[in-house]
Amino acid sequence: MTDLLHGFMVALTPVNLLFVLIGVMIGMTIGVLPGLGPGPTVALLLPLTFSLDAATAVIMLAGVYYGAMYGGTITAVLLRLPGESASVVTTFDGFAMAKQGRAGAALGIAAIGSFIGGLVATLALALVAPTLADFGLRIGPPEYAVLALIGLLLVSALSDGPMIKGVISAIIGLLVATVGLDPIDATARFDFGMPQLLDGVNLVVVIIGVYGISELISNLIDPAPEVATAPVGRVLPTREDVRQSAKPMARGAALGTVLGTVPGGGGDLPSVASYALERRLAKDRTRFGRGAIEGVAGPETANNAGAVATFVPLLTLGLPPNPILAVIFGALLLQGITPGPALVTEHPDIFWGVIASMFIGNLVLLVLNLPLVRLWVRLAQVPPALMSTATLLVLLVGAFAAANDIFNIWVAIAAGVVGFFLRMAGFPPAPLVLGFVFGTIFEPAVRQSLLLSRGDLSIFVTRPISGTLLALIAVSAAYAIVAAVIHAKRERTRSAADDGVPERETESA
Amino acid sequence: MAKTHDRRRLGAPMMVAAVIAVTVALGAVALAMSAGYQIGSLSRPGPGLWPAALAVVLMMLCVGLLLVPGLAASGASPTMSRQQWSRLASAVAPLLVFVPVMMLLGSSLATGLLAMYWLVAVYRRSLRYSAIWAVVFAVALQLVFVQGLNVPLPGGLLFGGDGA
Repeated sequence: MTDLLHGFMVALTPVNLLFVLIGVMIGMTIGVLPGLGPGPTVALLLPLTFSLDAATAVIMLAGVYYGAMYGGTITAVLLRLPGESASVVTTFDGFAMAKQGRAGAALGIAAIGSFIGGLVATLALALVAPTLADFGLRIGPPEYAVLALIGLLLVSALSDGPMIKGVISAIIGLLVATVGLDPIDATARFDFGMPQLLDGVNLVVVIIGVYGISELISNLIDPAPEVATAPVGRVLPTREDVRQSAKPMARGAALGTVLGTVPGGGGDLPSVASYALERRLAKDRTRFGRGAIEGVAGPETANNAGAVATFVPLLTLGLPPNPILAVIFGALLLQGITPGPALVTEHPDIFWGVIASMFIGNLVLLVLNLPLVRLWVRLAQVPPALMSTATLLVLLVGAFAAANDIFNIWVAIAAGVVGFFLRMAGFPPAPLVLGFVFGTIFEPAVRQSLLLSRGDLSIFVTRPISGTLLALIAVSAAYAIVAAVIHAKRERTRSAADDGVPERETESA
Repeated sequence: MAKTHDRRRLGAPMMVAAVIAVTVALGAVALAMSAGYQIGSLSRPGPGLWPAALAVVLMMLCVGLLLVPGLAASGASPTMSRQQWSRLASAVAPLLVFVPVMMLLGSSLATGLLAMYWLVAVYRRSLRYSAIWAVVFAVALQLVFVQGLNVPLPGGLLFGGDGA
């Protein structure tokens, strides 16, 4: 408790209050505006953090991240355009509510739920993080290797399309991460004689290219249909709305907090899982997709809880669970601070300052969100031509600014074009970027493990924690395979029944 | 996370085949180059072991993708129309000359020209509308990045500035 109070003393300084406000406002804005997501934005802001104190830098970047989650909800409800991929499920019932003249209630419940989710996750972070950091001191390279593997497999499984394509994307990312000097004996790899590649490929530039430029080109080729804006109406929810939303919010907060802490978690997972849960628990499932307020309350709460909870593995284990937090990880490294188990003891001002600022940031978002919703709606209606052009210019100049090197603009463009063709072929970008991020953790962990065990691969299985985690992966994979086989068999039976062929005949065939 | 909206989930066979072929080629090149970095052994892994292992797994997965019917095309976007290819070419072409133009003419002119091209050629806006917004964007970028963030954007070799 005294540590948290000390954290509030850090967070409540005028400079940190200013930067949490700047961060959440930028986050809200980019969450509302189509085109520039939190990934490229956080990457573009990274150079700005060079002149800031470490705690201030993380406070601002964190504010951008969870602020964007709030902003994405507004376009999801009013325009049926998810501002962020995590807001996709909100379009189902949120827009339906808007068509019924209840957009304000949807936005109000989403804002309240997001605040509660953020609050619960922040409390959990404050309670769990020191214990997890202590646990982190006991784990070694084999455990880090397995955690990185779990993160990549999870992101691959949850991305669009078949999992094998996600894994291929992840491996491409891992390969790109090998460019530059070998982490153990400093041999130059894949530099092609170019000194600019000796330091490896810049993470900011990869994010700008794969997330920013490729998304821009994709939207150009296949633009989203323009949707009329639904009127906002009364912004505050009724007592009945709050009563119906209470339990979904509670469940969403718990679900989001748990799922956000898993490496590779956060992102779409909490909101999608919450929507599925609320639908399953509902007495009348047919209400979902037609304006069920539970379909907004649960996912939006889970969404924000997940966004805050993703800071748990970053701050306690030094494992960034998604590309956006990888940039924040990079911001701390640039300040000479290594996130990980020792952060709690060596830099308690940063650790507890960031946690305390999340309380403040979530409160600021709740206060700003409701009265300014009409302003955010106007912002969302910026013409796509102007938004797209401005975004492209900012991305290209931002790529240069990442290291004041014109070579990085080429890298960003190349990453953007490659990312575009990978998307078109059904290879998702998220595992690629996370593979790139995890490459700097995964390879050293595997090689150090092999050195420790003198080449014996059983080290990953015989150590209790890594062995247990690998067993969980094996059980999950077996379950998924069995479920797929049963599902395929049921589909064959069903299609045979539709064709009027008796089941016995199909089995003998 | 990136912005998303719905896409139809049909295959684009040629596109998918090309991407997989390029990926396999990438894996093969990575494997060949890794062999030159000292693979070592499991007990003493060299700098080439990790990228070589990744390259082998990558190629195996790509082959696996091709062997299961329908899997390669799953999740892919529909075949692009001629109009879409044309739009893609018109969007990407200026990016390929952006860096040389920036080095020669400086960041202000380069960003202004790119904005102008993008609005006229890609979004079919009028010349007057595009010119106004090109100037606005170029000035805004200078104010934010150069004045605000002290980023040393290239001044252009033609104007006696730094080209890189």
